[in-house]
Amino acid sequence: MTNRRAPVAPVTPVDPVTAGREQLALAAAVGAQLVAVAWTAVLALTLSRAFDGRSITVPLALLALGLALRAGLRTISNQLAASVSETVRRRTRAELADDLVRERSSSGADATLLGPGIDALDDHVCRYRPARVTAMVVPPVVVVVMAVLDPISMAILLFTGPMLIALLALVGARTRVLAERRLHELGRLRHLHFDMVSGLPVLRIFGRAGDGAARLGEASERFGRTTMDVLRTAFQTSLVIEWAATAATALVAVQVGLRLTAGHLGFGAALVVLLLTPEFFVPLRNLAAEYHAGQTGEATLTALAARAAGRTEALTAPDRSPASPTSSAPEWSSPPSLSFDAVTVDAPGSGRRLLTDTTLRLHAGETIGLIGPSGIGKSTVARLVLALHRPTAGTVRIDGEPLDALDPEQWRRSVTFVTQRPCLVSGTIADNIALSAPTATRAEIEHAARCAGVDEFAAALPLGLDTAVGERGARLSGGQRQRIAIARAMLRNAPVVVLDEFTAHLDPDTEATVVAQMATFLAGRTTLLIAHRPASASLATRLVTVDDGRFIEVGP
Amino acid sequence: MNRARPAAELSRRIGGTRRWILLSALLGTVTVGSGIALVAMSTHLVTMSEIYGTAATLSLVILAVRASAVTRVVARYVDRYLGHLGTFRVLTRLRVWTYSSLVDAEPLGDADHRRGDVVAALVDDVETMQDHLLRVAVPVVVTALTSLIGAVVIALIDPAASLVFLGVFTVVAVVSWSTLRRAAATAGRAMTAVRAERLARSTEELAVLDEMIAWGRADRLTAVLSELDDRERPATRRLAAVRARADAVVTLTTGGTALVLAAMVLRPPFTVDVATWVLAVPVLALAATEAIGPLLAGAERSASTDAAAGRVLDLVERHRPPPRPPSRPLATRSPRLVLDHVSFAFDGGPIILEHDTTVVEWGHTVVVVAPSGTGKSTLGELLLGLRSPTGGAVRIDDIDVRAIDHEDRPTLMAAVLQDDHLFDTTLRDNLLVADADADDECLRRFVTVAGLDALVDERSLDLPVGPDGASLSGGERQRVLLARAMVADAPILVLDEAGEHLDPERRRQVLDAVLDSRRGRTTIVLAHDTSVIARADRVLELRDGRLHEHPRHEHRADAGPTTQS
Repeated sequence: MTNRRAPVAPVTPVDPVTAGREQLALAAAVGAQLVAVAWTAVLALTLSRAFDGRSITVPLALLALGLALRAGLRTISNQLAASVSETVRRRTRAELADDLVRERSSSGADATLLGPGIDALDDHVCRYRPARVTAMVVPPVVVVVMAVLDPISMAILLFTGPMLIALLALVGARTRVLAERRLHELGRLRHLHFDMVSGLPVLRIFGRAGDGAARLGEASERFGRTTMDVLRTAFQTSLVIEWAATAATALVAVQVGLRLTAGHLGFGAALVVLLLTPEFFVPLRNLAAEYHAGQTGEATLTALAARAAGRTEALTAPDRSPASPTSSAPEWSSPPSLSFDAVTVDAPGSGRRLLTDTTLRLHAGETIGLIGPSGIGKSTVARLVLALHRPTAGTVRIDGEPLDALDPEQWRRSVTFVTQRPCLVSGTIADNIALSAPTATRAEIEHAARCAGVDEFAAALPLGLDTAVGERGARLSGGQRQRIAIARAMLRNAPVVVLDEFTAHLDPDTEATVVAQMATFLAGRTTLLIAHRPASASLATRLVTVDDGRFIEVGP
Repeated sequence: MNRARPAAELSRRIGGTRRWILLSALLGTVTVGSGIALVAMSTHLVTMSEIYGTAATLSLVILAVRASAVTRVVARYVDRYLGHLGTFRVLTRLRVWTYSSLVDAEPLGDADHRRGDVVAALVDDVETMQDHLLRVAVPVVVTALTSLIGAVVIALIDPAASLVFLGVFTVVAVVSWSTLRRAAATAGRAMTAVRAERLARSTEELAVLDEMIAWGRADRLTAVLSELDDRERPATRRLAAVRARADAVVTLTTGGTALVLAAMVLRPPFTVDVATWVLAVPVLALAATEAIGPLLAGAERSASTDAAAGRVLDLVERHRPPPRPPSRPLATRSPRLVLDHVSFAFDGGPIILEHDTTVVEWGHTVVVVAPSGTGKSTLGELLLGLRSPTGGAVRIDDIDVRAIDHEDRPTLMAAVLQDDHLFDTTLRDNLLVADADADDECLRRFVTVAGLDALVDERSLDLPVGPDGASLSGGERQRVLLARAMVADAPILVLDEAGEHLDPERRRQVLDAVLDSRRGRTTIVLAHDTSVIARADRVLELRDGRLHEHPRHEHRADAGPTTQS
C-alpha cells in the first residue's frame, strides 16, 4: 500500500521468448483494430456506392475477407496473450513463494496474493495491456484519416480525444489506490472467514453463531462497498468516455448532415466520417471497460514490487544472509556444545523483553531442562536455537562459533525438534513422520513410529501408517498428533535436539513409554528440553528457569 | 435437486436475484436499444440531407439523434451501477446463507485444508457468483430483447431482411452459446477446483511455513504451487481457446450479419421513401448484434460460475446436519445430565463409544479419565450437543441436548475444547464471546481465577491475541480459554484437557480456583491423567467405549454433591 510509484513495470523480468510473444500479441491486437477501422471505412464507401446505384459485389467480397482477417488476427492475439499470461503467472507465483519463504510469512493475506491476486494478472495481460496499446495507436490513425476527409470533424475528435486520455490517466492513479485497498480487504475478508469457520464450535457452544454470521455479513458488505468504490470510479470514467463518444458522434452526424445539405461535403466522405467517428472512441471505451481488470492486476503488481524490493534488500543486507559462510557444511561427528552468550531477546510480535543480557551454556551431549511459568519466553529460546528468531543483542554459539556465521538451512539440518503445537500437513501418517527425513526408509519410519507409540493407535486404523491424516475415518486426538510429532523428531538423526513440551496431551502410561524411548534417543545429543511435567523434566541433567530476564539454575 | 444448472439453482435458493437480473437486463436493453436508434437516426439524417438538401426537415431527426445519445449514456451508467449494487447485496446474502447452513453441522474436519476449503467456498466461490448475475444471466435477456428490437426496426424498412436477420442471428447466437458453454464446462470446473485448492493449500502451507522452514522443507510450498500450476494449465489453455473462439465468432457474427443484410437490401434503384432508411440497415445490424459479445463471453464464464455454485451447494449438502428432535425449553436451571445408551462411531469407522447409562447429578464435579485417543474429546462434543450420537442420547433432565431451546442454550453450557479457538481480536472481545453483556469488572474477576491477572495488569484487556491466540504463550492461551468458559457462568461446564500447557503446580492452582468458583454447579473435567481427581465428587474412567467408576473413587459414587453450598 505504501509503495505507489508511477505505472508499475512488470515485476518479473520476462525471458526474451515470452517478451517476443507479448509483442506479437499486442501487434496482432492493434492490427485487428486497424483492420476494423479500415473495414468500417470500406463499409461506408460500399453504402455510398450502393446509393449511387453501382454494383457492390466486389466491396462486399472485400469486406468478407476483411472480416476473416480481423477474426484471424484477434484469435492469434488472444492465444498468444493467453500463453504469455500462463508463463507470467507461473513464474510470478514461484517468485512470490520464494519471497514468502524468505519472509517466513504466515499471513492469510499472502495466500490471497498467491491465489486470486496472481490470477488477476490474467486479465491484466490478456485484456488490459492489449486495450492500453490499442488505445494509444488506433485513435491517432483515425484522426489522420479524418484530417484527409473532413478537417472539421477531425477537430471535434482532436478536442475530445486528448481530454479523455488525460481523464483516464487522472482517474488511473485513484483507481489503483482503491484497487490496492480492495485486494487488501479481500485478504482480510478471507482471514475473518477463516477465523469464523475455525471458531464455529465455540460460537455454537456460546450460542453466538448468529453474531458470527452477522460479522461475516458486515464484512462482506464492507467489501462490496470497497469494490463499488473501485467500480464507481470505473463507471464514471466510462460514463464520461461514453458521453464524449456519443456526443461527438451526434455532433459529427448533425454537422456533417448540415454541411451535406449546404453542399460542402461529398456523400461518400460524409458517410465514412460518420461511421469512423465511433471507431475513434472504440479503443478508448474498451480501455475504460478493462480499466477495472487492469487496476486489479496493477494492485497485485504493486504488492509484488514491494516484495521484490525486500528481495533485493535481503540480498544486499549483510546481516540477513550468512555474513561469511565460513563453515559451509558443518558436520558434527560428536554433539556440539551450545551457548547463549550475553543474549537479550524480545518476543516476536509484541516485542516484550524476555531475556536481558544473560548467558547459558549447554555442554556437548547434555540435556538441559528449561522450566518456569508461561510467558517467560521458553518457546522463544527454542526458536533461537532453530535460527527462526534472532537475539536483539548477544550471540548464540555452536561449539563457540556464532550461529549467525552458519548457513541457517544447513544448521537446521543438524537439529531435530518437537514444537509446542506441532503441525500436521495433509498426507498420510507416514508422510507426516517422514517430513523430517524425506529419504528415510520404510523400516526407519516404522521404527520411529514404534518408539513414539504411534503404532499403538495406527494399528487399529484400516490403513495403518498409510491412513490419511484428518479425514473422517482417522480423526486424530491431541495425544495421537503429539506422538506423530515425536516420531517425526526421532526419525531425524541430528546431534542437537529441541523439545518444547513434547509430552503434552499424552496420558501417563503413554508418557512413561515415550519418555523412556526419548531417553535412549537423547544419548549422545545436545538437548534443550522445555518441560512442564515431572516425567519429561526427569530427562534433564540440569534444570534452568528464567527469572527477571536471566537464566538461573534451579537444581539438577 | 436440479443440478444441471448449479448457478441458477443456487440463485433460486437464496432468492431475490430475479428482480435484479430483470432490472439490469431492462436497462441493458435500453442502452443497446438507444445505440441502435442512434446509428439508425444518424445514417438516416445524413441520407436525408443528401436527398432533400434542406435543413428545415432535419430538426426532428437531429433531436432524435441527440435524445438517443443521452438515453444511451445514462442508461448504461445506471445499469452498471444498479446491477453491481444489487449483485453485492445478493453476494452478502449468499455468504450469510452459506455460513448459517454450516452452523448446525457436525464439527468440520480437523485438517486445516478442510477449513481452507470452506473458506474458499464462502469467499471466492461466492465472489465468482457475481459473474453469474452480471455476465451470464443478464446478457442472455439483453441479447434476446435487443435482437427483437433490431428485428422490429428492420422490419419497418424491409420485412424480408428482418426475417433473415432474426433467423441468422438467432441460430448463430443459440448454437454458439450452447457449444461454447459445453466446450468450457469441464475446463471451467477443473479451473475453479484447482484455484480453490490452491487457496486452501497455500493457506495451509503458509500456516505451517515456520515449522517447515525449521525442518528444511520450505520447498513444499513451491512444490504444491507448481503441482497445481501443472494441473491448472490444460484447463486454462482450453478456456483461453474457447474465449478466442468466442471472440472470433463475435467478430464474424456482427460483421457477417451486416454484410448479409447489405447484400440483401442494397439493390438499387431505391424508391425515395425507403432510400433514406435502407442504407441504415447494415449499420443497424451492427448495433443490434452488439450484445452477442457479452453473451458469448458469458457462455464461457458460465462454466466457472456453475462450478463455483456447485461447490457451494456441495458444501452445504455435505454439512447438512442430521435431523434433530424438535426444540424444547428447559424446566429447571439445575438439571441432571444423563448419558442414555449413547453410542458413537465415525462414518464407517469402528465404534468409539457404546455406553449404557450414567447420570450426573446436579452440582457434581465429575472427572472422566481417559488415555489419549480413546474418544474423550468425542465424548465432550457429544455432551455439548456438537455431535449427534449414533445411538441413544445425551439428555439434560428429560430433553435431548440437541433439542434444547435456542434461548436456553447459550446460558446452559460452556466449555473448553481440546481444539478450542481464539478469535483474532482483543482479549476482551474473546471473553465477551461467552457473554456479550459482561462488564470489565466481571471479566477481570474470571481473568484472575484463571491466573491471567499479571498479564492483564501489564497489557490490559485490549491486548490483541493474534490469529487463534498465536501472540500468547501456550499457557497464557489455555488460561484465556478457561477464563472465557467461566465468563459464561453456565450451570454446566465441560473442560477437555483444560490444564494442558501448564506445569503441574500451576495446573493444580488454576483448576482448583476454577472448581472453587464452580461450587454448586455441574462441572465435567475430561483429563488424560488423575492429577485433578482429588477435587472430584465422582471419577469415571473411559475404557473400551464405556464409562466405569474409577476404582479409587467407587465408594463416593452415590455420596451426593459434597460441595453444595
